[in-house]
Amino acid sequence: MQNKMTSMMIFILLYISTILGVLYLNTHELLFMLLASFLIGLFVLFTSSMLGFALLIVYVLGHGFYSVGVTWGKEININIQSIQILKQCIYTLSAVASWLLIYSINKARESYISLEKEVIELRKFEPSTDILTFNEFMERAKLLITGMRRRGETAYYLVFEVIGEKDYQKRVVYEKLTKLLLQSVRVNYDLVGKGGHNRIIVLLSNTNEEGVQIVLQRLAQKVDAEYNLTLKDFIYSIHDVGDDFATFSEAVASWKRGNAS
Amino acid sequence: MNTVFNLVAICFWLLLLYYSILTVGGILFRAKKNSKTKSLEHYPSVAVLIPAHNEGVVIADTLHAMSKLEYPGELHIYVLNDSSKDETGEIAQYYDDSYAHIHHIEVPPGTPRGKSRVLNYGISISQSDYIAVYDADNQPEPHALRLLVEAAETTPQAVGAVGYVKTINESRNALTRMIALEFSAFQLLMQAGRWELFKLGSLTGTNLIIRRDILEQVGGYDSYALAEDADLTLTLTDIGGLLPIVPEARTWEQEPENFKVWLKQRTRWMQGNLYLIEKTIKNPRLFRGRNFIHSAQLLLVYICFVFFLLMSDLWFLLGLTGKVHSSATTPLLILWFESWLMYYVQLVTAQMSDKTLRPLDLLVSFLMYFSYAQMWLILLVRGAYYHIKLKLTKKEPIWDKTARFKQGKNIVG
Repeated sequence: MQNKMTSMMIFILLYISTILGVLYLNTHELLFMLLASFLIGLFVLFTSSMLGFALLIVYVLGHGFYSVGVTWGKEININIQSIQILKQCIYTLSAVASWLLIYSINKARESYISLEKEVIELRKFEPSTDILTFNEFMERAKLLITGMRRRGETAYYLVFEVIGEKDYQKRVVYEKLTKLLLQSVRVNYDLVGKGGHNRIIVLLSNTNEEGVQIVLQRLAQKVDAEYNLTLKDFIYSIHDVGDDFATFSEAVASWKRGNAS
Repeated sequence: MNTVFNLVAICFWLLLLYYSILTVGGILFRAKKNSKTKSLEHYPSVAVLIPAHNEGVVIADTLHAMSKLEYPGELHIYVLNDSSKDETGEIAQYYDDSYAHIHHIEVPPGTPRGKSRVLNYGISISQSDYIAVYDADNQPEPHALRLLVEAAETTPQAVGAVGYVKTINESRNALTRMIALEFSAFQLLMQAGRWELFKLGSLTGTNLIIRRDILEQVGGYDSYALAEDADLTLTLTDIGGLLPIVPEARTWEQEPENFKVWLKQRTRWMQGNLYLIEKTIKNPRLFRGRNFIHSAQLLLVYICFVFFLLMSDLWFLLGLTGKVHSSATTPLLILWFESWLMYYVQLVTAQMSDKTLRPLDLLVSFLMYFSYAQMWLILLVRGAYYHIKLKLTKKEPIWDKTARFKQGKNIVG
């Protein structure tokens, strides 16, 4: 509702300033007004709203000082002064409307980007592969690890990273690998999540080194059976989960940032 | 006569030009993305000083906010209880008992009474790398102190840092709204502009930090100064110190909710500035280097601007009564309109840079030129009267404490 009102106000401001410009300004003045407003809008579009605002303020204040400068020392009656002020108001109104228009577009764009980011964070699964998003992976890992520690169980996590020269190749390997990993782990006890760009993290709960090797063997068999995929297309490392979730979280976050690779 | 009038008008416009340039400087400073502070490897120790005289109405909220300060280094908070007769001591003692880093200190009686003497006492009893000052009605945001220290430590030649004071009771009435707008324009925006263009910062009396060694070097606060912040600013600038502005380090402060309290508070500020002008004129050192801008601004605002205002009023009255016939050809309507426009633009710019542009504030800003801004003359006359009276009677300055408010009622300390 508020957005609608704001848009309406900007729309009205633009029209009022243009109509007043047509009524009270001569051709040159009208062209100057339109050009100045256009340039201010363009500047905001290509820089930032605040820098654009600084330009708008320079324009408005500059106009004020210009008005004082050109009328200083002249005998001007009150009517002419009023018209001079009216013209300045039209210039200002037009520039403000132009700035407001681009500002509101920028705001809407920023809001859209931020909402999109939020939606991505709230997603539970990565759409193309069905593995858990990083946030969801961490949420579930927290529950699993806390429970395991209470029961005195051990756990391991594996970090897989796709290697290759071309991005399009890596994308195919990544998708195949995620599919095979999901098939190789226990659905109800293990987690497969996104661990950064071209990186997958697998949490194997309530298991030991032998259990880890079983999963890896199972994966190797599936890789062999997969068309155009070899063990050389990716690397992996095995890690103990550690004493508590905080240690695990810190280590995994480091992987996610790409520091540990 | 026309020459005098034109000269006055030119000076007036130069002052407006200066403020317009500051406005643009301020918005450019706020537009910078890299103006954020950087975190430190080691955080120096800080002693927060809170002078308190009969602050029972607000001190609990203040100390609650202080207990939430998130500072990675050693932090001690001192409530400097200056002979309070209300429950200030009781509340401060409770916090002293509840938190290891909050201390209730009874300041021994002495003269001259006021904030400066109390702060000097606080400096003498504390040991820390930095001194932070907060008024007793302040509620700083948890990161405020950390941001101030980071700015002071990472800015070369910095001797401290200054934060931003926001109005906690802004929506109470038209007066508090106008004060909030005034603060955002003439404290934050102009401060930011001065820092951006001239690397000049001014202490604002609260939400600030200063290096202890520097404070000791300059002899602490001038106990006779009623505008102790402005006074210390000149002293620190004189020794080449910088005071970076940190708009993100915010504190929330209560402002006067009625005209009577506002008038008393502002008269004291005016008296303090008049004392400072006198001190500046007597000391040519304070006109050298970067201090020139501080001192020149003081003179322009408190002496020249008022002289221009009086002259124009006089001119207007004489013209009305037919005592003088003006042949001046200056377009007065345009001048008046532009003056209003510039004032309005400054207020709107401040709100924009603070990201709090609201339709009601735009309307209040529109009216402020005709109401709030015109009080300046009354304040100056009142301040000058009390200042001269004090000089003639050779008495010590009286610290006229600002009354605090609770649920719409004021309680005078």
